[in-house]
Order: sequence, then structure tokens, then C-alpha cells
Amino acid sequence: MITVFLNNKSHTVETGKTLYDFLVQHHQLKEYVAVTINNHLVVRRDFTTTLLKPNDCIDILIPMQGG
Amino acid sequence: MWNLMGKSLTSRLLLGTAHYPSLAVMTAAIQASGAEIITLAIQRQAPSAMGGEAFWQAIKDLNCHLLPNTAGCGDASTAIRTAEISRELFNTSWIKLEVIGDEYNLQADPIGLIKAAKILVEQGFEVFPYCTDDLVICQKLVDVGCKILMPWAAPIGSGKGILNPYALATLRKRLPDITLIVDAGIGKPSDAVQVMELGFDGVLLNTAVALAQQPVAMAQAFRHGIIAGHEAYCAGMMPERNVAHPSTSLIDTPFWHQENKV
Repeated sequence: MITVFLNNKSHTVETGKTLYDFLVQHHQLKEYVAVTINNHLVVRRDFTTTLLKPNDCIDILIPMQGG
Repeated sequence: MWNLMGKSLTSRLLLGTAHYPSLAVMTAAIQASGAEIITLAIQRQAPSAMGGEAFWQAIKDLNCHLLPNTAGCGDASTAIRTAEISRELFNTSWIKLEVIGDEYNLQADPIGLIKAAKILVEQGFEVFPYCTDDLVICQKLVDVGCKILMPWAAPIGSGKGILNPYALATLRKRLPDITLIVDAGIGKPSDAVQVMELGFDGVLLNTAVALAQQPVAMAQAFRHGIIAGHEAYCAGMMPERNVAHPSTSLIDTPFWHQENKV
């Protein structure tokens, strides 16, 4: 098991899990999200091949109103 | 109809999505404005929140072209990262590039802006840089590949209107082939009319509509104002004169020079 952080909140996940697995588990695999790991963008096509590593900081970015 | 980065548009008004009293009012105001391009931003989702869906659905239903911004970025590198995330999230290479240099008046940092614009253009972005009305800075942005410039009329959200008409007129004169859109500082429809009468290609605004007492009605007022200003520019306005000229020719009118005969 490893610890990762989703929007600064810690989560324990099984070793070898992909970002895709993690997003599905946390109901975050949505059309309107972008994801960064350790401040680096992970494009959608790479979700299934991105393995989570200990202490990864995963951030979910969503649209907001802006001018 | 006009063309903006390959998109054929009827409206020259670009509208922001912030500060409305509700999503319903936002949607109604955008529809009333006739805007076909709307701006929006990205934020980190709060740890326990599942937000964003209602706004996203409202945006999708509007079927407008999306112009994401890099609001909140104070240096080139964060603006570039934000642009990359926006491209992934919104599936567009358009980016309203904001690199803020001063928190008091939200003035663009020209050095960071030019640096970020150069890199983003090289990465294939269509960069809409929010900038000041400084001619030389604008020329530098063109030099690094910007085809559009978005100078301010006044500080963001101030509603002061055009603080320096000379500077905006100079930009139009010196950069005749660049798409010029005023971004920021517009307070009322007459400000937008004035911008369009200067020959600008469009107006981007947000607060003037969103904070109006009746945003939907104000959106419609801006729609008409921008059309009027653009049509006036196209029609060619009469030159200003320092002496009066009677609208009606007085020669041979019934009492022409009668006072001289008394």
C-alpha cells in the first residue's frame, strides 16, 4: 500500500494502481476535469498508463466562472 | 460576420462568466448579449467538494466558443502551466493570457507577458494577451507571434471606461492588421460604443454586465452599443469642427438677412 494525496487529502491505495483506477474509485473521472500530479499535467490519454507513486500529489482542476 | 482565429462570428462582444447573481442569470445574460465567445477559468477542486458540474453543464448548453484565462497568474511559468491545463480541460488552443504584475490595479506584467506569449505561441496556442495600451509592449507581443491584442481601457472591474483614448487610437493606427479587442475597464455601453468607434474589432467585458442591477437588460444594451459603434466606424464619421455650421442652409429662406434691412 502507498499513500497519495488528492487535493491535499491523504488516501491509501494499493501499489500498482493507475491514475485511471484512482479517479474511478473516487468518482473523479469526468468530462470536465483535468488532473495534475506533482504540479505536472497528465493528459487524459495517459490516465491508464500512469502508475501512482508514494506521496504523489494529485490535483483535480475544474472549470470556474471567470472574466 | 467577421472572422476570429478561423471562427466565423456575428457578435463582436466577448463576455465573461463571473460575478453573476446565479447561473440562470449568467446564462440569460450571455444569450441576451449575443456573445459567441465566453471566458472562464480553472480552479483546484476543494478536497471535499464535487463542484463544477452545474457550471460546466450551463456552459455546454450555451454552445459558445470558450476562451479560458490564466487569471491569478503572476509569472510566466504559472501562466504557461495554466494554459496547458486549460487546453486539456476545454479542448481549445485559445488562451486569454493574463500575467498580473501588480495586485492593486491588476496591471499586466509586460515582461512576463511577452515571455509567456512567446512560449505559448511556439506551443501552438492562439494567444489573446491581456495587456496595457502601451504601443511598444503591444508591438513586442506582435513580434513574438500574437495575432490578437487585448489592451485594457482601464483597470479590471473598475468600470472607468477609456482612460486613454489617444493610446487606443494609436494602437489602431499603428497596428492596422492586428485584431484589437479591448479587455477590461468598460463600465457602460457608451464606453463600448467609443471603443468600437475607434475601429477596434471587439470588446471583452464581464463586470459591467454581471454587476448591473439588471444583467440581462444590460447585456442587451451592450449588444446594441457594440453594433452601433462598429457600424459608425464603418460608415466613417464626420470630422469634428471648431465652428458652427447651420444644418439648414439659410440662403433664400423667408427672412434671410432681414435684420439688416430694419
